[in-house]
Parts: sequence; structure tokens; C-alpha cells
Amino acid sequence: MDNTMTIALLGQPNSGKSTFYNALTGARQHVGNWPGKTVEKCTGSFRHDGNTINVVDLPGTYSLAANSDEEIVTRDYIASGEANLVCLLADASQLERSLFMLADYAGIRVPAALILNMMDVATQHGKSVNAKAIESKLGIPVLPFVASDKKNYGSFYDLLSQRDTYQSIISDEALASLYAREFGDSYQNITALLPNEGISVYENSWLFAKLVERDPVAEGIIKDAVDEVSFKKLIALRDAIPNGSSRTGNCKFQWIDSLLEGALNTEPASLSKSGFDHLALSKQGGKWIAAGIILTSLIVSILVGYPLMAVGSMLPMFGAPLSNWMLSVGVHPLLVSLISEALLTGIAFTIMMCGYIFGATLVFGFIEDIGYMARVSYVYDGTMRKLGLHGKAVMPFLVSFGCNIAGSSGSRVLDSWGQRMTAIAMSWVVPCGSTWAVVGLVSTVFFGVPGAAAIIVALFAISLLHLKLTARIYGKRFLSDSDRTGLIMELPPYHKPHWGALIKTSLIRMWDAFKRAIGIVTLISIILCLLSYSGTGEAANSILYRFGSAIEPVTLFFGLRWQTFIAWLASWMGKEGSLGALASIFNGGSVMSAVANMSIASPDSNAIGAALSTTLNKPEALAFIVAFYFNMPCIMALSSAVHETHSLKWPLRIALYYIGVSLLLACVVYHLALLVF
Amino acid sequence: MMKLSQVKAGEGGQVLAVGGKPEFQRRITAVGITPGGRFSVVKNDAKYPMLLNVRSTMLAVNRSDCEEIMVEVNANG
Repeated sequence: MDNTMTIALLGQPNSGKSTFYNALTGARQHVGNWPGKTVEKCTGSFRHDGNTINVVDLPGTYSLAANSDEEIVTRDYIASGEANLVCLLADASQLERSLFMLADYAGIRVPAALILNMMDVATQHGKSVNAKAIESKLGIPVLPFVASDKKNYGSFYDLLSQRDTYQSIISDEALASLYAREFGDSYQNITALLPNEGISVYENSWLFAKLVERDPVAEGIIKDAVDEVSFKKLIALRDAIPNGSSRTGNCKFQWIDSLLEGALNTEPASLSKSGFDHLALSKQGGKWIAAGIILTSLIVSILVGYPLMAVGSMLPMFGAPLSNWMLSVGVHPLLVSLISEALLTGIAFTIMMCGYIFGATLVFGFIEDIGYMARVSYVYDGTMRKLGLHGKAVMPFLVSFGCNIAGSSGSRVLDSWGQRMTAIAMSWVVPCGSTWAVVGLVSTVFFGVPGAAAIIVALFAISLLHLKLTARIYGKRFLSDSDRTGLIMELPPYHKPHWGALIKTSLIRMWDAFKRAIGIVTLISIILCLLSYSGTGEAANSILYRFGSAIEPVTLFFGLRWQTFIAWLASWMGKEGSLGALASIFNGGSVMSAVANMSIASPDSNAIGAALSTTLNKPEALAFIVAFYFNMPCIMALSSAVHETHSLKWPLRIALYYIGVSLLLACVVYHLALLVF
Repeated sequence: MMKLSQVKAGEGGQVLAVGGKPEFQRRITAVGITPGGRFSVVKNDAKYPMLLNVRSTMLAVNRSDCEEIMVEVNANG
């Protein structure tokens, strides 16, 4: 074989494709964009036997129809012939349904191999699959596999080193005759109008199926390849065939049935519902069980991430000795401030965030891996539907209670860009864990504990309205009719977690987040540091103060004094940043060092409280709480949304929308409160 | 012949026809619901998606979409 080969991984969601991809390529991955599409392109490579093998991880889709950008990208890539081999992954524990992709692939003349993944789960559920029997019927290599088990990869590498593998094409004969039987003369008449040898990599049987399935992209391919008269005849013939997708689908499943005949043995008991599902899916208890498990998971995520968060939070402690040392060797104070405060804070914040991302990816990955996440989506489908989304979107919302960044990456479970964008836009209403420190402090100082409780209830109530509004505005923009489809989701059988693969995925995700965040966080830290720098160490001499006090007449319209306005601005850096800013302004230190110190321990809350209560009145305090609570999430969450959606324009616009809404709400609350207090 | 959404939990039978838009047909076909295919209803609770067993898979399908699917119930479903 050549020195460089390209293989593509194709499979339905939950077929274990990502696990396979991560195991093959490890850290040698690159994430980009498919040209002209907002679909993530994941490519990686590995070396085996002195050869380099490039791996393209195609988007997880259910079929090769042209329902979404993901499916179009997938099909176009396969047809381009760039891949020497397409590895089709099927879930052996749900083989019949999972092989639909294979049936949709038959008739594409691009070499393929079938990987029967999750053989271990199939066995756990009393199913046995005879791969050799399938192989002999299908005419392409069929490999029983467990992607989460390292021991299996030898057989896969063997497959890649055989020359025959790259010549194996699925015969469409059996499927074509099923179509011919189902559609009778229509099949003969349509295929007779197509070029004898098919079009590019597509057999006529495949083109026929896509035509009657009313696939707009395939229609275009045919239009370009036949003359105008034939095309008109084809369309007329096609229009006379109702319910094409159902009928070809039926043929495809008949084809699968005959493929599996004698090759698949199922113990009858295996299809029954498990005992736990009786509770997990019940009308009475399902939602409560899910809520309990999710709450526990959030707590466990933080515990898992805690060691790393602790490391991050200790970093700023080195700031003082470091700056003393630098000052003693004669480094310029501005540079000292930049390094010991800005740089250190940037790194500290990023490491702390990574701790949570690792924890959340691991814990929620575990819930997904054992099969429970689909149950959560099921019980909360009705709730999510009120927001124009469906049950699968519940995950980004839940994870956002810990951290909005993890919320953005959680949106990957959704099927289309429109749904992901909408879910991210709406999940920003969810307050992250750090929000509460500030809300708790300011509201108890001004309104006592009962007052604070009332404020939190009110904030949640406003959040619901905010969600409704955001759903209206952005749902309309991002969700096309095909995105608004209801839930169609498999509930995978419960099975044991694959720890190795889970940890590996979590580490990769964390490293991605770190690389992305570190630059932007440091940059913002430096800007903030420069703005708040004052030669004398007095906040009143900084640019930030001069700027803040100069525009106070404007910000006061929204109920924000210059101090609270700057605290509001500082929450872009990280929600805890706000508290640090307040501390610094009232304690007379530099804003930046206070933002940094927030991550060690909470600054003297009583002192801030006392200072706050002499500077602000109650309406101003309320205005600040509201402006802060509804502000856009931190810059890191914004950059993660940009990364996940491959769009700069939309996340920025949504951020501006959040900023606007937060000020507007603050303004309304302030002026109402002025009437009361 | 009746709508899938009217079938009670524990009952099952055969799919007769799948209506709706081509997009819906393509999506529902890809998860295994096609005319002639067998199914059984695991759960049918108001305000929740329907839970079905289809081709060795447990599926959750949006309730209103199930009105597009015509089925025939028989005892040994």
C-alpha cells in the first residue's frame, strides 16, 4: 500500500465513532470547517507500519439523505473519492436499525469496510453476531469490534494493511432487485433514463432511491448528467410515486433482514424493558429521578475537577513574591503588574475552568455512556419543546448551571447547526456557578436573607421570560422547518461504562478548551490590567476610574454607579471577576490584583458589604444585581460558542443582545425600585 | 387501521403507512419505522414522546409525529 492513506469514519450518532476516532488518532487531531458549511471537520492521523494514515471523522448522521448540512457534507466527501476506504460503524447491540446507514451506502462505488462496534454490549444483552456470515454475503470486510478496548485494534490494523481492503465495494444487486420488485415498471422506466453506468460513484439503483425519496441534492446531480427531455420525464415519473422514502426504506430493511438472516441470534428476553427504566421513564418519578441524578452529577463534576481548580486558584498566591522579586531586580512596575497580575490571573482562570470542563465532560460522558442521558432527554422533552427545541437540548442547559463553556460543548449532541446555535443562545440565560457568589453577597447586604431569597426567586422568574423572548427571537432565525422536527431518538440499552475511553475524551476536550481559552483570557487580563494601572496604586488614578466616573451620568440611567458599572464590565472576564473589582474599588487596591485574589479566597465580604451599603442605595443595588445576573457569560464562554458554532458573527450578536437586555432590565428594575424605596 | 398515537402501551402490530412531509419520512425511515415493519408500544403517556420497540431498538418519537403513522394492531405484536 502507499505511504499515505486516507480513511473516513462513517456512522450514526451513538455508534461509538468518536471513541474510535480518539483512540486511533489520540492528540494528532485537527478541527476545522467543511468548506462553506457550519459543520465541524475533524481530521487526524496515525502511523502504522511506517505508513501515515489520515483519518476523517465524518459528522454523525442517521442516513445519507440530504436532510441536513451534516448529511450533505458527508455524502459529498464520500463521493469525492478522497478517502481510500470508508469505515462504516454499526452498533452491534442494535444491529438491524444501525445497518440502515450501510443500506443507504450500498450503490455508492467507494471501497468500504463494516465495523461491528460494541460487540461487548451486544453480548451483555444476549445477542450474538456472526461477522463472517455477514462478510460472505456482503462482499466487503466485516470486523467485530469494541472501540473502547485497546486489544481490538490489532485486527483493525491488519485490515488496513491488506491491499484487498481498498477494492471492496458493496454490491447493489440484491437491493436493486428489491427496488425493482417494490416499484415494478417505474423502476425500469426511471433507470432506463439514467446513464447506463450510473453517475460518478453512484449506481443507478442508488440514484433511483434518492430520486423517489425526493432528495433535492441527488436531483441536482441527475439534472447535470442527463439531457433536459430525459430529466423532465424522470421528474414526471418520480412525481407519480407517492411515499417514496417509506417504500425504499422498507426495501432497505428487507435487504438488512436478509443480510442478518442466520447471522444474528437474539435471546428473546433481551428486548424487555429493564427494571430501572420502569422508574426512570415513569410519569410520576422520571423527572425527579433525572433532576436528582443531574444535580448529583453537577456536584460530582466539581469534585472531580476540584484538584485542578485548587491548583489554579493557588497560582495568584505567587503573584506577591514574584512581583516583589521583580521589583527588587529593577523591572518596570508596569511590566511587573502585567506579569504577576494579568498573566498569572489569566492562567489561573483558565486552569480553574479546565478543571470543571474535565469534571463535567467525564461525569456527563459517563451518564451518556451508560445510556441514561437519552432517558433524561425523554422525560424533559415536553419542557424543551416549549422553547422550540426538543429533549436532546436539555444537556447544554443542565451543564450550564456549572459553567456556560461546558454548556456550549454540550450542544454537540444536537443534530443540526440551527438547533445548536439556538440551544447555546438560550443556555446563556442559565446562571453559571460563579454567579451566585456575587448575587448572594450583594442581595444579603442590602435586603437580608429573606430579601435575598425573594430576589433569587424573582431572578428565576425573569429568567423564564428572558428564555421565552430569546426563544422567540433566535428560534425564528436559526430554526428552519426541518430543524423544528420533533424528537426522534433511540434509547440505547444500559451498559457498563468504558472508563479508558471516557477519560481520554475528557482529557482531549479539556486540552482543546485550554488551548482556546488561554490566549484570549490573557489578552483580556492584560487590557484590564493596563486600564486599571495607576502609578500610585490608588484606583482613583487609573484610566478605568476616569472612564467610569466620566460616563457615570449615562450609566446612572441604568442604575449603575461607576463602581458597579466597572464590576459589571469585569464580569465579562469571569463572573467572579465582579466581586474582585468591587473589592478593589472599595479597598483602594488595583482592580486587577483584586480580580486575581478572588480566586484564592473570598475577599473580606464584610468590608465590601459595609463599603457597598454606604455608597449605593437599594435601587442601585437591585439594578446592579439584575445587570450582573443577566449580563453575557464570560469571554471564555463566548469564545467557546464561537468555536462550537464556527460562527463569529452570531455569538457576538447574541452577546450584544444579552448585554442590551441586562442593561434594559437593570434600567426597568431601577426605575421601578425608585418608586418603592 | 389506526394512528400509532392511539395504540396503548403493551400493544403492538404492523406499520401500514407513513405520512407527513418527505423530510419526516426520510428521518423516521432511517430509525426503522417503515410500512410492513413490526412495532410494539412500550409507553404512551400523555404529554410525553411515545416509546416504541422497533427493529431491536427502543425509540422515543414525538407524540404529534406519531399521528402521521398508520398502523394495524394485532394480538401478538
